Amino acid sequence: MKPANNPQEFITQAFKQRASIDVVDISVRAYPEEINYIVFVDANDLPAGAAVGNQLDEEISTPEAKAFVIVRKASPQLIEEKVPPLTHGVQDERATNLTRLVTARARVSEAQPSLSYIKDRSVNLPAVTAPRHHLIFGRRGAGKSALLVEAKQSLDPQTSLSCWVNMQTLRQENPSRVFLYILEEVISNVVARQQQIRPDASVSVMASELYDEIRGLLAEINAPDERAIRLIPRVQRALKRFHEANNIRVFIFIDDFYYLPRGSQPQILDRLHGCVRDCDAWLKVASIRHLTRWFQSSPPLGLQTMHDADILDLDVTLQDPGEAKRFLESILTQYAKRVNIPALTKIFHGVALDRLVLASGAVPRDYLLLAKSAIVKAQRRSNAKLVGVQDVNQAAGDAAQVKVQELEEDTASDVAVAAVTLEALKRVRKFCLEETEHTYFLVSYREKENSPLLYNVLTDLLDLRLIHLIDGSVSDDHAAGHRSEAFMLDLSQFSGARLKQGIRVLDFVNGKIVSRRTRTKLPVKSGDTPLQVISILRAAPNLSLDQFQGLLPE
Amino acid sequence: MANLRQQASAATVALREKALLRVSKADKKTLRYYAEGVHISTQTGQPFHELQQQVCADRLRLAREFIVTGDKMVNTRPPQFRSAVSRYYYSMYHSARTLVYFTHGGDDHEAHSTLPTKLPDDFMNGALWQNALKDARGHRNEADYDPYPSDLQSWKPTALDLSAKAPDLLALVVQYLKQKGCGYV
Repeated sequence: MKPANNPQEFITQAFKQRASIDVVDISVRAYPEEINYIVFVDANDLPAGAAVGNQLDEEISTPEAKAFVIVRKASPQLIEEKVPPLTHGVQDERATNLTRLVTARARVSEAQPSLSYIKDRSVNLPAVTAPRHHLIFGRRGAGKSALLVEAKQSLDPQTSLSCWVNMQTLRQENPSRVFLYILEEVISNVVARQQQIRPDASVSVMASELYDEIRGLLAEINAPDERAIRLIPRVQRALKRFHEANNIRVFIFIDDFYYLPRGSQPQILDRLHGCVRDCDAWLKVASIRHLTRWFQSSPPLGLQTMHDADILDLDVTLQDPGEAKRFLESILTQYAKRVNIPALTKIFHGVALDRLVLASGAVPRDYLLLAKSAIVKAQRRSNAKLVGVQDVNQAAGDAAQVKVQELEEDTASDVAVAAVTLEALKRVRKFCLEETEHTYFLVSYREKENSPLLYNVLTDLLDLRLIHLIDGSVSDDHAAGHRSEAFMLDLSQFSGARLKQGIRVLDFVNGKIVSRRTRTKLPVKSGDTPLQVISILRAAPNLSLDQFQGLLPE
Repeated sequence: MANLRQQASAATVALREKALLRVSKADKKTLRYYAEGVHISTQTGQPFHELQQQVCADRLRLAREFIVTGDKMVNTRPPQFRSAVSRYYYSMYHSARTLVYFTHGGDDHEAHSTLPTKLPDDFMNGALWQNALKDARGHRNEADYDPYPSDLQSWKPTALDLSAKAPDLLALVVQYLKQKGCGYV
């Protein structure tokens, strides 16, 4: 198509073909010898749209009038006006497109960045790109990889060099070889950059020799550990010289660190720390907190928090359900807009959206995947226009098996841990659903302090999203100074096929926590005020950590 | 005696600024001729490449002044959003013009319609800034030429948007020029 025939159509097609961008609207402003085409796109499409618009300036200009394509962010009202209404609700093809998009893009990796990164409340991005070692913790699906990818992309390539290693690829390797693989990635990046800058410099020679040696050691199947250790001062020197010569800061992104055996984690971090000590090189390690040992005191090995590294916690918990709801819905809305669904309420009931927050335990990926499954469930009901609460419950029930599989995968480096966690889950379920008929429970601070190892069994369940923290500090109205943590069993453990009746559950309605007993006409306790929420939680049964006695090795 | 000294000093400043204006507005080819000659350097007492850097610093000062003026127009009672849009655009224009002047080596691309396309390839988020400059120019055209919308408040979002973008662009240009060795910014 020639631009002169129909410039607006030409622009619309060019945006679609060159960057897969749907143009929301185009307005034309004519001035003497000049014409401006103002193209409105979704806010997320602005960077790519700007690039296409700049290309088109020359293509659509004519000898009579110079043309400019100006790309602007479309307002939500404009988007809603231009999008055809979803009269069939969840049966509309766009709902199916949403499920496909979520399936394709729910997992973030270095190769595939997040669809659109949503900053959380604590705005961690500037922290991750700061010159400081960081341990970035979050449950599976909390957004660790998304944050690292976003941080990597935000770095100025002129002044920084970034290296990326995913530990899942290396989880079958021994610690020494894991260390060598990370070094190989770092030094190969240094060599490549140094070659671009000044191939004949002494730093280039030093880095190239080091790279060859690391490759040589990796080629040997059973290279002695000492030879890897001896590389540490040489790598440190190479990184230091590289920075001195070029003023380029090095960032080492290590994703999914929890895949490595816990016993070897402090040792690997210690070696890496040795390599970057007193250099302008920074470790950014993403992992699951309770599957990670980042420091051991005897002998002292690893990264010591406060001194060597800071911790960034990405977990959005149910402690503030209203905030969690806003954050999670903003993510899903971005996906929905990509497939021309202007608002989530066009395909979800309000109560179903509330239930999704609870069912996902406020974990973003779980939220997205549950939303997708719930849409599929609703579509099977031919007359359904909106996703309902039952669809979400059933989707959550189906997710139970997946979570257990993930548990086995996450703890694959230590089979005993997986067995302990599964047994602990059984005991917590029995306590909740059979003994006390409550889906939420309290664990006192005193027990937590007296039995730290047994408490770790509970936090493993927390990290694997099989239980969720509801409130970190519930006071006891009968004993001053006594406090407890409140947890909730994951919805997947008591909904869908597992649905049990007559149990007291927590629910989330219009931004508020409520407590009700299922299939009874007992009044619902509503947490309209903080005091009422505390009152609901205080009534929960106390789980004794003795429940886990006998699970840990002697 | 003091009066005579002041007059002489004012004349020197005027001469120097006249020379700088010639340096700032000359295209690349003309600047090469200037550089080969010694007259301007002799007149100003500075090597030619330093004069070019001085020109960059002076144009950025102008960009900064327009931000201050724009801010005043936004904060005055009643606010003058239309005029503020124009000032913020001119701040962005001068920031971009400095950038292109420095990297290209002459003031060949000062035309408003050409300037956005000449931002250097390695300028951070270049495509976005190119679009932002075109966008600001479009807004400035509307604000200065179109009688509608007549409701002055409707210009507020545009003015506030540009009040954030103009300082951002200025800061990025300063950072870029420093990295590239422009010692006067």
